[in-house]
Amino acid sequence: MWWVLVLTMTCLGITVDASAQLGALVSPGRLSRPHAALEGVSNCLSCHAAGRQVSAAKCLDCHKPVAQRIAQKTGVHRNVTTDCVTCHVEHAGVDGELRPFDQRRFNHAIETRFPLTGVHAGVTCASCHKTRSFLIAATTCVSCHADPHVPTLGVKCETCHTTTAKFNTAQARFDHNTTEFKLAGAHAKVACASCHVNKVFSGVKFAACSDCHKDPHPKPMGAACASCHTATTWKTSKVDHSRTTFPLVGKHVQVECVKCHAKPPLDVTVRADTCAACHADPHKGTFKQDCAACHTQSSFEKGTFDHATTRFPLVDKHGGLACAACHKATSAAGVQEFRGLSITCASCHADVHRGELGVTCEQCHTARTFEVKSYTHAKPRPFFAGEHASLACEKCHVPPLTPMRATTTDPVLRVGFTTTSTTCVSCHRDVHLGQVGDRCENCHAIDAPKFALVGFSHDQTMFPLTGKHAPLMCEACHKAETRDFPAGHGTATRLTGVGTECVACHTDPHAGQLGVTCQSCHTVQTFAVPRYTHRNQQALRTFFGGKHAALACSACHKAATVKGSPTPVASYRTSTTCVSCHNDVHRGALGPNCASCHRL
Amino acid sequence: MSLASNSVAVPAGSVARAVREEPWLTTRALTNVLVLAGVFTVILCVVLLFGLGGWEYYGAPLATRGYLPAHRLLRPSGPIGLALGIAGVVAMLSTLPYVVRKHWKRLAKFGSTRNWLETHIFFGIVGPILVTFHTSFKFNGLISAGYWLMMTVWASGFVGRYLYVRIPKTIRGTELSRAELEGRLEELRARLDAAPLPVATQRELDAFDAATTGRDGRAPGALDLFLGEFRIRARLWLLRRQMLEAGVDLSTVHNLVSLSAERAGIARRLAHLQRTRRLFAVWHVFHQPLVFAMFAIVAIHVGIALYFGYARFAP
Repeated sequence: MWWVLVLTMTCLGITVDASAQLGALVSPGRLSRPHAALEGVSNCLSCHAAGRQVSAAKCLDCHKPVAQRIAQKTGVHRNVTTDCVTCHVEHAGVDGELRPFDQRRFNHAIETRFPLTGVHAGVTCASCHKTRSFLIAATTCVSCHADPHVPTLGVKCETCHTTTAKFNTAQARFDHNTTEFKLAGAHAKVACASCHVNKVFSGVKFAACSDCHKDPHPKPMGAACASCHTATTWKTSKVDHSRTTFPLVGKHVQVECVKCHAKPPLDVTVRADTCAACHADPHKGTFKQDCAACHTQSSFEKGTFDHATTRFPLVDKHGGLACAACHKATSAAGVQEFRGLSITCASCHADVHRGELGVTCEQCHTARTFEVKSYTHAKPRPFFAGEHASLACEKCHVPPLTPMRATTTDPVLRVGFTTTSTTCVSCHRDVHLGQVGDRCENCHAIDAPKFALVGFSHDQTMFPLTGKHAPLMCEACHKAETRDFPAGHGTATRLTGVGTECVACHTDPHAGQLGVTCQSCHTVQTFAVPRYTHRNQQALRTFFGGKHAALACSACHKAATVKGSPTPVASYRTSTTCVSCHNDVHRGALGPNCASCHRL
Repeated sequence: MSLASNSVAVPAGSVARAVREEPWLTTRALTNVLVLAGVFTVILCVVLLFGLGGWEYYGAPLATRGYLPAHRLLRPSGPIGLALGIAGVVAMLSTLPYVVRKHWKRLAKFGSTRNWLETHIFFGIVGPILVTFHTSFKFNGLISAGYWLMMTVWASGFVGRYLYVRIPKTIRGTELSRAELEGRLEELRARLDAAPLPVATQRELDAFDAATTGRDGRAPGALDLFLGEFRIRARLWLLRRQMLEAGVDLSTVHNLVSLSAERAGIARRLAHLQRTRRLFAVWHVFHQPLVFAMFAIVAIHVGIALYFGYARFAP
């Protein structure tokens, strides 16, 4: 029966010495194309280990880059813990897939740390991974891209190129200022290829303009282009006039070239020796010196003329004036006259004082301002001190004419400074309406605040103030009255004619019972009567003795209706009979002579 | 024999007894084990193809099927795949005791030949099916040669069974002699002749008998051994219809057809007996050595798998 086996084997074409064929016999399937070299029975143990199926160690013996990444915990296999065969199935035929993964879902940024951005995002895997191994592709640009630069600019492509922009729009990223030729002005706007012809990016000559630009002048101007042209624009010829014999300053800067230069503009011949070469002389030759002695190139009007060299140096407000403000006159030839002008103020200014103060205006006024901020009277007297010192001029110097202006520009007309009186009433109104005459200084002082009465004493009057009268205010006695005063009818505090008797000020509380000689009982010290000795005390010695001596006045002088007083007042017409004060308890039975029985 | 108008009552008991007392295997013998193996196969297919995702897995291209979820279980070295392979080998090994018993007469006293053969057939059918799923329909290398050898033996098993049941045997499987068969044939003829049938029906039966037993003088060719069965079945179907049309009642027709079939079968076996025995001897020479070659290859395959550590139930 074994011949059948041998026959079958032979029919199947088995040749034991051909290891590949024998391998094919024991192999569970053809190996995939990448492992094709491992076909054959002698290679089984390249991957398989006795009793261990396929161990990761065997795989990683060959796949060293993967082993390295697993050890470093990077890349796709960074977290792998299982055997390789868990994911990679072999013996599935020549076309067997060894790396099953969805290339469209592969997260290149996370798995490889090389994010596919910009134009990289759309390319197929094979565009970069040209070999079967995904690990071979490097992250450097040159590993995929050919270097078009001649000669090469090195491998730091990212200096100029990005993945987000097309390759030939590199200038958006490249900072040309890092090179020796910094791009300024119009150079910054031109395309790279304008200068870098044929993508030659290094070794390009740039020292001379003519390395890139052609000389457009009909007559060659040489290599010093920058003396006329700038990098900002070629068409605007900004000639550096400062390098010529006539540097342009001031208003000359704004003047168009053709104003001075005849065409062609590049064929320049300047006659800049005198101003008159270009400018007309408005002085018609009256000044022989150079124009620059008075004028500058910045302004014809505001020249450099030093007025201090004249008899009239311009200071303060005069300094800011235009020449024509003073030099108004023109000659017969129509030329502005600068000579022969008077230096007196009146030659320019109108005299608001109408000659009253003379022509020495500077005694009061300065060139800084027309206003007279402070003036010290020529003759210092007490009159100008005190309350008068701080007064404005016009407080005293009231012009007899109404201040007026001819025009809005004219100063206010002021006259009458010399005719001002120093008497008080020339300025002050007599509030006393002539009661005390015009010798105000008898009572008032200029140097006292508000002209206080420092010179007045009531002792000089007929009624010196003593006792309780001393602290009284004037108006306690001197009331304002409206009546005829020496100076006329009006209202004023009455100072004269005030009575010195008590009733002139005080009301008589006794309703005239005791007459007007109040001082016989009262004093200026107090109105109260502390002790009174009856005039008839000697005659009525008995009556005012005893118990009567200690009584208060009111015990006997009781209130009663008195003629001339609407209300009851203490009556001083008191009887000395006992019954006028005491009740007769005997009801008249014993007669009026109480002393016959009673004793004081 | 007497004529009957429409309905003829045949003593059904006599015909039925004839069938029941039949001591020989019929052409339908060993059919139950085929049904059993078929049911097993269907269940296995349903579980693997639809229960475990085999439909998608086995149909996927070889290059990428390794990354399907079912690969974990159904690959040859997976838990299910490996179990299928081991079960297949065990099933194939389970066919061998029958061979041993045939050659080793001492074992003849254990069970009937028929039971041993049924066991042999069952495992012989399901074993290759189990192994087929073990391969995951991937046939490579030497073991594929073993597989195809096995499948050849598997197919030849069906031929062998066909030939085997056509060599008349007792119910215990003992082969019958030609004389015994011819005696049995005559007995059946006599019983059919004794049946009271209409004349037309009786003629039909005689004509069928003549056509199927070679009594018409035409010796059956070698091809008839395999195709003659179909011709007899077609004629039996016609006979049955004719008898029903003639008015014979259903049970009688059934019995008569059974007897006729049995008679025709024995007649055919007798006619082909010599040829069948000769083919069966040749079949043995073909069937057995291929099996041994297959086992030799399986041994290498299992050895390699064991050596590399694939005989483990690790998912």
